[in-house]
Amino acid sequence: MMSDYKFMIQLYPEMILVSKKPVTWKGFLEIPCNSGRSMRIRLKLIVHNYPSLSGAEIYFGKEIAFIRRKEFSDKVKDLMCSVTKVSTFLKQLQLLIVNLPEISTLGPFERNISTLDIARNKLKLQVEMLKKVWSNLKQIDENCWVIDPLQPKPCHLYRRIYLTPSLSMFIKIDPLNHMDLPEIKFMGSDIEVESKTDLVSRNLNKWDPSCDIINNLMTLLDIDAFPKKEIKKEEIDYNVIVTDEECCICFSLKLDNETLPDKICNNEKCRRHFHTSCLLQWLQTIAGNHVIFHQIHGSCPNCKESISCRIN
Amino acid sequence: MQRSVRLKREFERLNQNPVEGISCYPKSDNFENLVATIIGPNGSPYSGYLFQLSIDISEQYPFEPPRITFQTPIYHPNIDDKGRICMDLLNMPPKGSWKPTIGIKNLLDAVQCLLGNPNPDDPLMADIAQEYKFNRQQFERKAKQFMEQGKNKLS
Repeated sequence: MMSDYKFMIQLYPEMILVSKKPVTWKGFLEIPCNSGRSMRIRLKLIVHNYPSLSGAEIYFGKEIAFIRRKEFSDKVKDLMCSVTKVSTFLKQLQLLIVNLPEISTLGPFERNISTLDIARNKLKLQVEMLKKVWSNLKQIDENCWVIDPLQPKPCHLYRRIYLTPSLSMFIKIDPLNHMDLPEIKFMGSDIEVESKTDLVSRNLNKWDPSCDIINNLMTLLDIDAFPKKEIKKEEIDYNVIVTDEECCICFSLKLDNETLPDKICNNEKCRRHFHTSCLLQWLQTIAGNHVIFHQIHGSCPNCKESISCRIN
Repeated sequence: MQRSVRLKREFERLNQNPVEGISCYPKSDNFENLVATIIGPNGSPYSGYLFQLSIDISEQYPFEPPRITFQTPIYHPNIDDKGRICMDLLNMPPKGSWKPTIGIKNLLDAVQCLLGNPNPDDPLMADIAQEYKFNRQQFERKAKQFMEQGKNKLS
């Protein structure tokens, strides 16, 4: 009890122990926002079987009534079962709430808020909007082979979908216009990116906001179904230094812990993957490459096939 | 960033899947200097001798090739008396053919291969290259004699 109390005082000075039987904490929990500032939410935690958190009751203030979705409360329940310390529990709870995305046009949560009522309405509005986006994203997750993000969270409003070994499609949904055409970008080998971009531009007028996102995307791409995820054995082959999906310049999948390879060689016998920034750095290092507008043209470091890369 | 992640992976693979006749380990934690040893390939005058190499990996790796030099003196058309190696892969394009998809293991493979198959048309030691081209027997005798003076014979 005492050790937990010490931690709480240090880490969550705004949470006060109001009763010992049953053990009850009451106060405010600070949630860091993406914009650097933070918001505080009211919280009451009754731990009946202290020190075990199972069966504990948790009450949020009105300001985050919006996250009383089933998914969220399930996660909170899971947390209660797996965590044994009140301070750890609160830490995890902060992470859960922070995973909500920010809608840029509405600004960060805390801006222009003078009363809790305004805060509540604002958040409610945001979540109403996001709910529809989440349902679209869920459809994509169920019907397509999503390669990025590796583990989608509610704050990820984008998906990268596998199409062929050398092509993937990047989609970003605008929370304000979730039924409209999303932002679409193709990634992979130059040739395929170009041909698919042409195809999609021709089909743009077929986008029907009353139709669901999967059917709309299939119409755009002129396909009947999305490729399903191939189940591969997760064995590490010690003979190869890079796997097919990894960047063959930095020898890894994630660059700076987030970016996945997005360039693929045009040569179908080569099909090496690269991070745009790795490839760019190499093309800029060697002499004799041509820069035309914002594109640098050179050759694949593996097979010498011509390859180009955008200069940001 | 790319450099350290990649080098870590390269050493992991080298340790898990060692190459016959080649060993390589870092001298310091930051992978700036490496020490490698290779065994002279069978069928060459260097067969049965051990060669020590020093590898310097610059901050720009893998966008720049590592610098590899022989620490063990050798009599070879493409390696000079300071241990410098004349090999295509070790130079930046357009002069050389270094590319970032090549790893340290591939380079050491190539160096071992160069010992067995000198390239007299792109020599560093012109006299030895001439000898290798027109008087192979004398070259092999001299190369062996040269090695015997050293102390790098495998027991």
